[in-house]
Amino acid sequence: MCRLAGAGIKGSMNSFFLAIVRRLHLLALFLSTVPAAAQLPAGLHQVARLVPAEGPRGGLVPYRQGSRWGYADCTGRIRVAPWWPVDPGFLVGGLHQLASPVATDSFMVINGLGDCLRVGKGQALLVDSMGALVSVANWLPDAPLVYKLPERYWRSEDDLDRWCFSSSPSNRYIRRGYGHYGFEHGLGRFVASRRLPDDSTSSGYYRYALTDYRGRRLTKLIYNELGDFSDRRALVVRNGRLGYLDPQGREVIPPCYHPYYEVFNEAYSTFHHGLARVWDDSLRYGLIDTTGKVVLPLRHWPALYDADEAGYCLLRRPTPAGDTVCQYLGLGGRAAFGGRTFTRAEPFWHGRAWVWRGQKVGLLNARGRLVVPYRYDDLYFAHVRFGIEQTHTPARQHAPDRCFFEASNEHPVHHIDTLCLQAIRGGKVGFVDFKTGRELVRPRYDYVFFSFRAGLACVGRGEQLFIINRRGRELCEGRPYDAFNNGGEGRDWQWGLGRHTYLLLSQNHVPNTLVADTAWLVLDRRGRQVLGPQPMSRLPLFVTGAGRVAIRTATGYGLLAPGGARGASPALPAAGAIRPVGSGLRTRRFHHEPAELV
Amino acid sequence: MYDERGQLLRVLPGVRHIGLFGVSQLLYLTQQLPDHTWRTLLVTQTGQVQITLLGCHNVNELANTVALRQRRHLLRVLPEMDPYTNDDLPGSPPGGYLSTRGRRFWRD
Repeated sequence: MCRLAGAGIKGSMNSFFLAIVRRLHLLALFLSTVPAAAQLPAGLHQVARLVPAEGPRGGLVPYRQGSRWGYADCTGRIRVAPWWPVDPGFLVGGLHQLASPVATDSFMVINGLGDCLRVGKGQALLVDSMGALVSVANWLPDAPLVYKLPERYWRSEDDLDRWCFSSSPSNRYIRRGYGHYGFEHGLGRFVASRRLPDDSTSSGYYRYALTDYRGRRLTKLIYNELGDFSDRRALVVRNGRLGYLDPQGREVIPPCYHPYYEVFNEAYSTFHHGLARVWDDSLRYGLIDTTGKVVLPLRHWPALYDADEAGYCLLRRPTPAGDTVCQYLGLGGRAAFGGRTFTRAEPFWHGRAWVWRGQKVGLLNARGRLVVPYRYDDLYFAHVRFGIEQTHTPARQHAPDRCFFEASNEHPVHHIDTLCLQAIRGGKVGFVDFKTGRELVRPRYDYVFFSFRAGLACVGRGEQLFIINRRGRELCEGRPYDAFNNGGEGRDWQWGLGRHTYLLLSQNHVPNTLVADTAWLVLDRRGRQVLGPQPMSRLPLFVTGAGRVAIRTATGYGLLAPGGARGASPALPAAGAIRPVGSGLRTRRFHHEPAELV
Repeated sequence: MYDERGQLLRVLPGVRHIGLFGVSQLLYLTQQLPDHTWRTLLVTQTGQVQITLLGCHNVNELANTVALRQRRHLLRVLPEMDPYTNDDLPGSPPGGYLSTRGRRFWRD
């Protein structure tokens, strides 16, 4: 009995101690988790895999309490308790990268739901195949601490430059930082590199290997160059020879070609639409497909381009007559469009290609039909510049990578309408619709002052300027309000406000001089006069809604409404060269009259 | 400030800065009052004063990287500035964000 009781007591003591040990264990576990949790503010939860999310309706707004910043929703409710000492900024694309205020060697990425992914020392941030962010161990000891957030989640606020990119899916640009990492969307394959210690004798300063995103190495660290994946093939250079890897790291096209791009600083020979250009040792070049089969024999072709966005390789080849012609090669390197040849041609851009027959240019669509016949001497988009005097000279800006919009804080970017092409015939300029090929404006003007934007353009004939719409109707004679004659303050002449567009035109301008205009007026987009001629003593600053204009006078600022100008307009200059034809809305055609008669 | 008929609506003397926010369509003014204090006004297109801030603040739109639905309703208020040199005044609170309805996203 005693033994039993003793056993019972012993058992209960054991269970008691066990319970205490368990609780202590739990307490220890709890204590071990508390510091990690305490390092995050209320409202942030740590996750292992971060999915981009916009969060509450209206998004997260940085909220400041005293000297600390957190996030609130748009109703003012605090979502993330104030924690950061500086303004953390807004989320872009449902993600935001932030520095941790407590640990300087790590950073964090949050989404709109308050999920937080911490990337600490020795870790790198990567995108998995589903588009979520994961932090993985940084597998190279000499690699940088963290990898940057993919470029689509951050954009520089200061950099206002915009480039026209071709929308080709094969143009996926893969950013490889300072010779260390690259990433490939979708495949989960990464390029790892290792800097060789003082190995300046080898052909490359870095050696590369292919790994998956968990860091498992798929190839040996033997490649001098490792390019990005395109059409499931990645370019490699080993022992001065160029070949291609598949996503499993096998050399499906063994290194046997000349690394032309490396020697001549050319673009990478990546695959586009299943075709890649390769060079042999005597620098003859041709096309191979992804299996390595040569589909265009290697020769000294006069010109051969990579496959464009429509999938055609443009080839310039010699003719028996000693001339050269252009030809498009389609799928598998076969001649496209029934072997049709052109005097000159350019790669496709947005579904159209510039082709020449003799001296005349037309536009070809991707099915080989000529949407703009060979009628024009030239076809181009205007280059947007701010020196107005320079826009008179035609700039050939129709290639995608040459279409550059320059902007700064003083000069906001003005995107021209890329559906309207300027067409030159017989020394006169008109407009052609880029998609349909229809002639919008017959070539009858001497130059284009401002190309089409928001459906309106300014063109010139002799000394006279006209505002025209996309139907070619001349709304008025008018000179855009010229920033250069007004202290260079960068005013725009078109003000798009909601559904309305207002035109700020200057008046009594003396051509080819820097003499200030003496008056200005505001029209709407149908050419009707909204605000009558005003003297330059009321300097226009900008146009706001309903055609009101903020002005600056000698005494101060003011807001001028349309009706205000009519009654009490001060001594106006005599009616000048500009005569808005808004009163004659029904006039279909504008009758040009000499300025002296007005 | 004039109305559509040309009638003088209100006189806004002492305006030092003026600007138009394209996305939120608000007019930004800083104004010196007769007692030499400053205030910052955000005026709608109809001429109504939507928001008044005490002091001479620099108010900006959000950067164009931010989603448009946030840019329409939010403005960045920077610390109070010297109206003549446009430098930040030392000791002024660090500003914050302001909705166009007047909700301020800060608490001092």
